[in-house]
Amino acid sequence: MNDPCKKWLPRLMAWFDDEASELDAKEVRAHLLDCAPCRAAVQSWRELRLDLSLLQPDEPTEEVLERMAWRFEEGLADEIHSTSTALRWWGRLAAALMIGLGGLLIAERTVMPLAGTVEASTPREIEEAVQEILQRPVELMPLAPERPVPSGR
Amino acid sequence: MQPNPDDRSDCGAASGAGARANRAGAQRLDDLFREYSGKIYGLALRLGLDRQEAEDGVQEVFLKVQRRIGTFRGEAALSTWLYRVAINTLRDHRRKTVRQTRPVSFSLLASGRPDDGDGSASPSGPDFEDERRDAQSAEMAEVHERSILVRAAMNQLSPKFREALVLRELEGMTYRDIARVLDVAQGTVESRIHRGRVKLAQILKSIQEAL
Ligand SMILES: [Zn+2]
Repeated sequence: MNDPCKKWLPRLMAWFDDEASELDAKEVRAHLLDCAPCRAAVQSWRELRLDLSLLQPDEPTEEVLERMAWRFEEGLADEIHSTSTALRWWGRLAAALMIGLGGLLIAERTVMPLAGTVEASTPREIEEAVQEILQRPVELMPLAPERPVPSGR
Repeated sequence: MQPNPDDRSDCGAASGAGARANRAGAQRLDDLFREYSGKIYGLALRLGLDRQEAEDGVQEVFLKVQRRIGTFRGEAALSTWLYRVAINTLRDHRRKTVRQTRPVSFSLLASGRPDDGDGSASPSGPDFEDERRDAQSAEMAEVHERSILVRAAMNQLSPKFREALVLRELEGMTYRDIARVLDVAQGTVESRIHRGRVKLAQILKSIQEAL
């Protein structure tokens, strides 16, 4: 393709790939009548298209489709099993952390109101439960009245 | 009130609405698989995977779809999103398998024997030569040899050119759809198709000269 024809390239390609408007297609066809290099370019694309069509596979057989469906179900079951196992372990880890955290708070604040138990099984629920506990108002136990220091007398 | 048996869940923690949502998700995945597994299998073959690899690829694609279906936001058509996941997954799958295990053999091309990875439905195995002699005309054999050569040339193209050409020439997609699937600008798609054609023609020529 010579230089003056390079500006035709995008339009030529769009026409070849059925992407050109009717008006553009008309102009491209008119240009092709006059231009041997552009005709050669289009011819080479046609040959490639024919070559590539040789790679078009047949439709998959029923047997292949069934085997793929069966394998996918198996894979899905494995995936769900491994996800729930992982979640269970994360849950246990988070519960252990919460117990540790609770213990620390009790030690720090003398007492920590443990009203009700926290039910959480997913990492998100556990995270929310921890946040909720952390945001509870600190209710310190009233301290015992100071005893008078024995006079020692 | 009678409990709806359909609302039961294994862990007993999920609400009825949650269980229904899960079932709806599973049904959606099932429908997607039924509608697209054959198409994605075909795409894998067109991209140069052999039949076994294509089956493995479909499995990988749909497991990934299952994990990511929650991220589908509906900006693109579901099919476009699915093809995007498929192209990316199959590209990785191909990188792991094809190049390491199946370099192009020019002696195979010269002898016209089928390459395992040609992705066509042509017969293969020890009986192939006999079958071919019996059943295929010289013209058919020539077409078959040409398909091996074209596959070999396609295997030498870089993935970005191969994918653009496959989506355009073998999947019949428009420039706009290809741009959405590959997540690039339409101008980039046009450029890749053009450069892909030029490079493929050059590779084909050099392979033919080497034979
Ligand atoms: Zn011209």
